[in-house]
Amino acid sequence: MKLIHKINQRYLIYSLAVLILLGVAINITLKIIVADETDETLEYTYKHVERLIKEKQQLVLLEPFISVELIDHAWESRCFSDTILYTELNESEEFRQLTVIKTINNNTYKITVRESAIESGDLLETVIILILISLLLLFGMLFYLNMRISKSVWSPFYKNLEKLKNFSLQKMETFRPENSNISEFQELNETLKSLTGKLINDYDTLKKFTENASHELQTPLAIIRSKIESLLEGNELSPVQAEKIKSIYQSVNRLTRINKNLLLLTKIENQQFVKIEAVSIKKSILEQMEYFSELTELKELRVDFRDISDWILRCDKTLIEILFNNLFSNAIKHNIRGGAINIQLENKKMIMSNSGTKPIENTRRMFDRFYKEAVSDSTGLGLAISKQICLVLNLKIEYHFSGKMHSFVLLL
Amino acid sequence: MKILIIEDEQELLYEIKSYLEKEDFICEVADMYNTASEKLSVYHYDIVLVDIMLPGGTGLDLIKTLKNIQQDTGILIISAKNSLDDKLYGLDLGADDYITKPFHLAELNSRIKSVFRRRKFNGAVEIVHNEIKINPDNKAVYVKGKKIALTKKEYELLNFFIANKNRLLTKESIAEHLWGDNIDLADNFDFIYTHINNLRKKIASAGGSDYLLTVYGMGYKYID
Repeated sequence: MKLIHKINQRYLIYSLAVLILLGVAINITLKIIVADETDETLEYTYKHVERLIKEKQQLVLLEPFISVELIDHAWESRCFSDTILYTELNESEEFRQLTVIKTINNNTYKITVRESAIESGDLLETVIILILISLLLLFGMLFYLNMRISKSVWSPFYKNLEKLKNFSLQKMETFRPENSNISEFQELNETLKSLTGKLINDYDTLKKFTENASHELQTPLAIIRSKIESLLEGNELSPVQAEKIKSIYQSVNRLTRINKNLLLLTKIENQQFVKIEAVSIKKSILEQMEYFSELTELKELRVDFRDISDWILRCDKTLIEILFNNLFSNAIKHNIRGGAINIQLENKKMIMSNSGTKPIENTRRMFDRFYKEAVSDSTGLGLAISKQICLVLNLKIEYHFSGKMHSFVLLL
Repeated sequence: MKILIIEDEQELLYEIKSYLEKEDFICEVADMYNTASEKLSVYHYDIVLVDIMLPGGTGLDLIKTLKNIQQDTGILIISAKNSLDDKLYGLDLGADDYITKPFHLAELNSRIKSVFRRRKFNGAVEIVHNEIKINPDNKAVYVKGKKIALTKKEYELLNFFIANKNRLLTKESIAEHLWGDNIDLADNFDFIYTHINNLRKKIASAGGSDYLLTVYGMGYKYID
C-alpha cells in the first residue's frame, strides 16, 4: 500500500470516528439547549397564566397548549414531562409539558402548559445536518489538500526511489538524488549519496583486484606452462610421471583459460572497449560463419542465415566479435551431429537457434559466472561474458527452447 | 639467427632461451631496462623479444630507441597485459607482433620465425621441408611440385608444424594457434584430430610421406 493511501486511510478512519463523536456530542448538546429553552418558555407561559388567574380571575384556555382545571384540594406540585397527544388531525404529536398544581385565591388549579416538541426537534435535525455537512465538506477539503500536498512533498522521494531502482554498479554512474528542501529528505539523500559512493568504490576495488590478480597470474602461469611443456618434450619421464604431468598441464591450461576469460570479463565491465563505430551485425555474422565454416562442416551442421534486414549498432567492434564468437561456438558445441544452426536477422533483432536434445534446466542461472549444467572442461564464463557484453551495449539477451532447438534472441 | 630476449622473470627467460636454443638460434638475454638498452646499442639482433613492464623502464621506450638505431630488427612484444591499446601502440611504434602471456612456446617460436621471414625476405621466401613446399605469399602448398588444396586451418596447421619440427605440439597449443583464445575450446580437440587426418590424407594422396606422429594422449609431432 502506498504511503499516501495508508495515511489517507488512517485519516479517513479517524475523521469518521471524530465526525461520529462530534455528531453525537452536538446532538446531545443541542437537545439539552433546546430542552432548556422549551422549559424556559413553558415557565414563562405558566407565569403568565398564573398572573392572569391571580389578578383577573381569568382562565386562559388554549388546548392543547394551555389547559387549566379546577381540582379538589391537593398538594402543590410542579413537574416537567414529555407526553404524546392526539391532535385534531388525528396524528400523535410529542409535547413537552409543565404541570403545576397550585392554590391561587383559595382555589386549587391544575395548570398544564405545553409546547410542541416537534418544532424544536425539527430545528435540532436541521442544525445537526447543517453542521455535519459543513464538517464533511471540511474533512473532504482537508483530505484533498492532504493528497495534493503529500504528492508534491513526496515527489522528490518517489523520483529518488525510481533513480535508485535504475541505479546500476556496472554503469559506474554516481547516484544523483533529486534535491528537496525537507531536512529529512536531505538527510536521506546525503546517506544515499555516501552509501552509493561507497558501493561504487568497493565495486571498483573489487574489479581492480580481479584485474590485478588476473594480470599478476599471467606470468607465473606462463612459467608453469613452459616448464611443463619442456618436461613433456624431453623423454626422461616414466609413464606414470608423464600421466601426472599431463594432468597438471591440463589443469594449468584450464586455469589459463579461466584467467583470460575473467580478465576479458573485467575489461568489458570496466568499459575498456571504447572504439565506437558503426558495426554491421550482418557482416559480423558472415565473418563468424566463415570463421567457423570448417568446424560446422566437420560436425555436418546445416547453417541457414536469413537476413531480412541489416542491423547497425554503434559500439566497439571487438565486443560484437566476442559476442557472436561465443554464441557461434556455443551453437556448435551444444549441437548434435548433422544438426542445424538457424540465424535470423532483422533490424534490432537477431535469433540464433541450434539443434539440441533437452532444454537448459536452470534458465535463471545460465548467465551466471561459473554456472554449468553438467560436468565439463568449459570455464563456465562464455554466457556470462555474452551477458556482460549485452549489458554494456544495452541489449537484451533471451533464451528459449522449443521443438528441440535452443534459441538465443538479441533485442534492442 | 640472433635473438635478444628482454624479460624480467628469470624462470620464463630461461625457458624461452632453452626452447629457442634448440632451434639453433643464438640467444642473449636481458632482465632489466638498462642492460637491454646497452645491449641494443652495442650489438645487432635479428629479432628482439621485449616485455613491456620491466624494472627501470618500459619496453615501449626500448622499441622507440631500437627503431632509431636498427631499422631491420624484428620486434615481438611479450606482455602480461592483453590490452588492445598497448598492442596497437606497440605495433604503431614499429613492433611486428604482440603475444600475450601465458603463451605456448611453440606459438612463440612460430611467431618469431614468421616475423624473421617477413623482415628478411619480405615474406617472399618459400618454406621447404623435403618434398613439401609452402609459399607464404599466396598461401599455396606443393607436394613434390604438385599443388594441393588445403583449407585455411589445414594450411595454418601445416605451417605451425613445420615451424616447430621435432617438437611436441600439445593439443592445447594447436587449438590456441588455430582458434585464438577467445573461445572455450575445451571440447574442440576432436576438430583438431579431424583437421590433422585430412591434412595427412591430402599430403599422402599427392605422394608425400607421413611426417605427423601422434603422441598418445598429448598431441602431435612433425618429424624430419
